[in-house]
Amino acid sequence: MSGDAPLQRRKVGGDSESHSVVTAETPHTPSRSAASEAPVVRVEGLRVGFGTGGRRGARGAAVVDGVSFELQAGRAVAIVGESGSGKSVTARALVGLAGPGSWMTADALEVGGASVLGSTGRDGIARGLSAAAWRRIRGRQIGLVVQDALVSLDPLRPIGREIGDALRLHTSLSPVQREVRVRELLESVGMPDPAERMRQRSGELSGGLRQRALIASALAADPSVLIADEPTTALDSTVQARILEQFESIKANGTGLLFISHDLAVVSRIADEVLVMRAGRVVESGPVEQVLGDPRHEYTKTLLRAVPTGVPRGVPLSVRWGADAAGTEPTEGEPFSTARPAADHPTPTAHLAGATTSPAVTPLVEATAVSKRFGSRTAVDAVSLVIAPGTTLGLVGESGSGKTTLGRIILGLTTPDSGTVTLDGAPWAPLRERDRRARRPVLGAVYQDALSSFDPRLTVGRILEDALRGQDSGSGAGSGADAGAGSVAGVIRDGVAGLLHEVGLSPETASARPLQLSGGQRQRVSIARALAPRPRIVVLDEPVSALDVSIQAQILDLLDRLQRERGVAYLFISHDLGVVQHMSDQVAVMKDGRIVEQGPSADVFARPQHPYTRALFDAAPRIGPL
Amino acid sequence: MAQWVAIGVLALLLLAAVLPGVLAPGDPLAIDPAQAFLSPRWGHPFGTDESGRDIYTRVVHGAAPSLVIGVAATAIGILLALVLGLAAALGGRVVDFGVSRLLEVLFAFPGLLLALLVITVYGPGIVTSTIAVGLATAPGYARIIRSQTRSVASAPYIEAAVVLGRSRGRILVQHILPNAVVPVFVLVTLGVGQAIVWAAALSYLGLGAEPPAAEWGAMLFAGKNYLATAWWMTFFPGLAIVLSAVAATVLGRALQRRGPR
Repeated sequence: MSGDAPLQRRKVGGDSESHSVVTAETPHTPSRSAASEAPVVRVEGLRVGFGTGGRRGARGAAVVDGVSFELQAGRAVAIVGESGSGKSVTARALVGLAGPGSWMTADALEVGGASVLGSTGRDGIARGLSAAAWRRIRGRQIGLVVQDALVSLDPLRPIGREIGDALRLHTSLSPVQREVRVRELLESVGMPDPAERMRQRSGELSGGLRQRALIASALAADPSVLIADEPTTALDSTVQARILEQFESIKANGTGLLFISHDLAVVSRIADEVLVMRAGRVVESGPVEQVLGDPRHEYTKTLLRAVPTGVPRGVPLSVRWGADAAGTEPTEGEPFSTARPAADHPTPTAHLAGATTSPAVTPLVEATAVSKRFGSRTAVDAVSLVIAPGTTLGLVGESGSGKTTLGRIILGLTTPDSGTVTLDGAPWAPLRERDRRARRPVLGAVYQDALSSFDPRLTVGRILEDALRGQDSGSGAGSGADAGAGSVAGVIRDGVAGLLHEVGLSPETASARPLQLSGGQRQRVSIARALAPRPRIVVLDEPVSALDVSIQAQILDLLDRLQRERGVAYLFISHDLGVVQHMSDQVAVMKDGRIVEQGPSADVFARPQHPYTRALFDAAPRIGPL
Repeated sequence: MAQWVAIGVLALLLLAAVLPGVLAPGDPLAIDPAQAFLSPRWGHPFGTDESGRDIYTRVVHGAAPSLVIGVAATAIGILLALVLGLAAALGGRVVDFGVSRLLEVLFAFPGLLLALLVITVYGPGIVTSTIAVGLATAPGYARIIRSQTRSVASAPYIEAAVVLGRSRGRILVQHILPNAVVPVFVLVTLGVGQAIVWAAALSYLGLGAEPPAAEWGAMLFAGKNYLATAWWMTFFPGLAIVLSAVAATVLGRALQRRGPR
């Protein structure tokens, strides 16, 4: 897309505002490579915002506020931050794609030594480069790789043609030479069987191969700078590891790499220098060893602490509560007083961490040789597992491994082709829904996309009321501990307030609609709904995958606390090894529909037996060694 | 802005339909041959027709049948569409196949032709023409309801209700119907405008209201012979048809824009 930002603007000379916010921004002395070269990218006092506010000169607030950095050839600068921090806008401003209605000012914005700010307007804000000038820079000097390769590649054109286009535009190669070059490029990004693949369309490729094709097209015209905006976020960890290797070799070939990511572990592998952004500002920057190894700023520390990898079970990840429901949440660790004490289930004070399921305990869920096929594809292949009351079974695997289907079988949403599931010692699947319905309150579910799991017409209060009411009309499975006698409506209202309190949301949230809430708040509502019927097990399918790391930490801490208080068991489905390790007593590793390894979390993570488990662990990005 | 004008027009139309005497105290059928073919003037703001009847009075009194036909026809269409659409969406593969093919057959006829067919079989008159217009609009609504219901029925929040242990009936009433059908009622507003035009067209063809009755389409028919000499006989009923149809459409569009998501 040409997407020329029509309102590229620039301030002339020393703008006091731009300077005042840049504190940590002294050009770093590169620690490894030669520093004598001119930087391929130089950014000084970059400010970007959206909206012109009607009157000429009146602008919307800056979403990027005084960012400065330099990128040398053959080195990598990473910008890390959570959603809304302005890291992507910064990267896009460099290629004039900040977006429609955006404005930009900077003291310097240079690519390959030449300014890309364009001419200056009278109000200190200029209109930027012409579309033609941008086209000469994009592709040739700066390549851009984005997160979602599927939508970035034309679905109707073979990838070879797509990559060839970049060559046609930026080089004078003949069609035959181009084809040779395309094959070389695909080879260089590690595409298996390039001659074959270049004739395929993006839809026919897997996520990892698609990302490789996109990188190849970005590299086609041999740009001196490659901007990679969350290039591995949508990928499985083993694929991600290979793509990261690719970026390393690109860097080694002398291309300057600007790497945008929310993932500190990924950044620690690839970056030489790191900028930590929050709310449009750089809060900390410097060499990667220093920023991630010895962070100065409180926010960087918070981010690092929120990474669950290697943090023992039960240790809180979030520093304080309140980032997404300010002031209403209890301090972590404080004994939690609730109107609804979990009285009817054993409430272990500590997790049954590492406890092997002794035969004495009746398993809450027991799946025996469960299989499910979709057409010719076997999604779940003779899987057996056991979940003991009050414990967490972590189910880890890559996309397409069948873990979601297995979760749905246990939830009774998908009927297995063969095999059985028992719930609390009684048959559960296969069983007719009508016969199962009375026992539904035993099971709860939390989904990755909380928003779509709520009826869009309902407020949070109505959603929770509905969940509570179903329980009451059942066989009286409720605890009966609800205070406030009188009308059923009153009891339910108290129940809603109690649930909201329990998941750390303010009572006012009840009148909001899910659409108005943040991602973290929505997931809290989702958890509250799952807990409303007082289930004994909750199936959590990628419950934190869509969340920022600091919000993820809060949700994980919340789940942990609720498990302690209510004695509820979890089936925790995730692709993220760090999260699973932090949350699970037992772990099952799934690949191609089979569970390849299963056992106490501590054992599996300390001594993985199966080669795939080991490969998965090796590929998992972790911070350091720095 | 436009929707406020539209609401104003529709309010006036409603007043004319419910209490025509307030706006036009005269008798719409009163004949006065001495006053025939008068052009618009004081006392006869819209002029008079070949029998000396006051056109303004007749246009005001014509609102009721036009509006009733429009609303009733749309109601019939929606009701039928609800049955067909929901059956197709929720009734399983066989029912879906049958209903969908039936809808395709109905679609093959232009709507007005379908209405004419019904009238040919059951004879002209206001009731038949209302039913005919309703039948003719049903396939369109039915298709929309079917696809809307299908997409709602497969939404994750329906699954979430299953996990909470809701019965099929309760899920249908509580989640599927409101989410699938409420958006359709925006279309109804749009449909009323269309139905008014169609009903007028049928009356014009002599298949709806009979000539002496004060009905816009019938008035158009009566005036067409005098188009060259007495333009007001067709202009004012025509204006009423256009205004009410446009107002209903504008309001429908405004509702559509504001609608949920």
